[in-house]
Amino acid sequence: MNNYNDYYNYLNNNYNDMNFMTNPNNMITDMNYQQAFQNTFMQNNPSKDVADTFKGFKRGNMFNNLYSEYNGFKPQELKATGEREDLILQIDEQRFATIDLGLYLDIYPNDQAALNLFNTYLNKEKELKALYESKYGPLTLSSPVQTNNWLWNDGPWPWEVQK
Amino acid sequence: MWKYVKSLEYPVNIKKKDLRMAKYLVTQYGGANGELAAAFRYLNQRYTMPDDKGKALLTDIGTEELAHVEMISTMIYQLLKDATLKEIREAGLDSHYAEHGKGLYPTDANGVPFTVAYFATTGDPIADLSEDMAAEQKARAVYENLINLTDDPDVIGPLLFLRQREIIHFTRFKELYDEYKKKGYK
Repeated sequence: MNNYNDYYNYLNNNYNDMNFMTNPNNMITDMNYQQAFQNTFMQNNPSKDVADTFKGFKRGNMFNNLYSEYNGFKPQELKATGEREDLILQIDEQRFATIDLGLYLDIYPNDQAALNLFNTYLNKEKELKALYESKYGPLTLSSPVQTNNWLWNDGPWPWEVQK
Repeated sequence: MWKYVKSLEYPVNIKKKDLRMAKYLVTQYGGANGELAAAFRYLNQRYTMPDDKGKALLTDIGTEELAHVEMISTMIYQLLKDATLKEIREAGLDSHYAEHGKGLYPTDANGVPFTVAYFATTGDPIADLSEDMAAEQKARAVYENLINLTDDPDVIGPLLFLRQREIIHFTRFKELYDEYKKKGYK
């Protein structure tokens, strides 16, 4: 599943479906992983439990007990406007999980379960990034892109409305 | 060193220009509780953190704040880019236009330019972390004020995200603060 909108619908429809949770082909195998580690994670972890990357990214907070809603506002539903942005959102999502878990690990460096989660998301981000860069060009100046052309200049740049 | 990644931390796609909102939002760019002040406050304080944990946390939060500077800048740019001169005048942004055109310039919502006084560094880890905790709470409050000033979901979405980040950062700073107090720092 490469489409962020499909992914969102899929997640919504299958959230409570146990077959979905054990299907190795779905996009969020890390959720299974996360569940497997949740018990140990909760024992060592004053922050109780972490959200899946989709939920965490959308609301800007991976930690369920630290999430505090403001004035009834719900996080926005992220809808990609095209295939390129679709992939960007998937990358952003995994990267966000590593950013938020990274700050946690700075404080709790001995939490092995959190470290395992961090590595899972980091690897997923790397895979998605390689896929993106093979199609749309480098995301960093040092990205390995197999071409003789200078692709770095090509837009859209991040501050432009994405199409 | 730092490496640029060609995507925002969280998507910003504002389709509707809103000059008044741009005028308020700029405070999270160049105001006392803004992202630019936060980024450089933490990156500047990290050198005198007493242990590796503190050095890591201030480096990482400071780095994330740089990504927030980019998000806020993007929001201001998108809210402003299609404005006519008439609209600029009506929104009271004509003085900004005189100096900067449609370019970005870090000020607070009253037009007071950014100042390095916002870095607020004492070199004392307890004092600096107290400053950082307060800064995160103030930024959270400002984000709530900004959310109250708009009804555009394209603006509210990223502001809700940024508000959550203030809550997380506050928590991590507090955890470090508590640990340092336990270790006997005054």
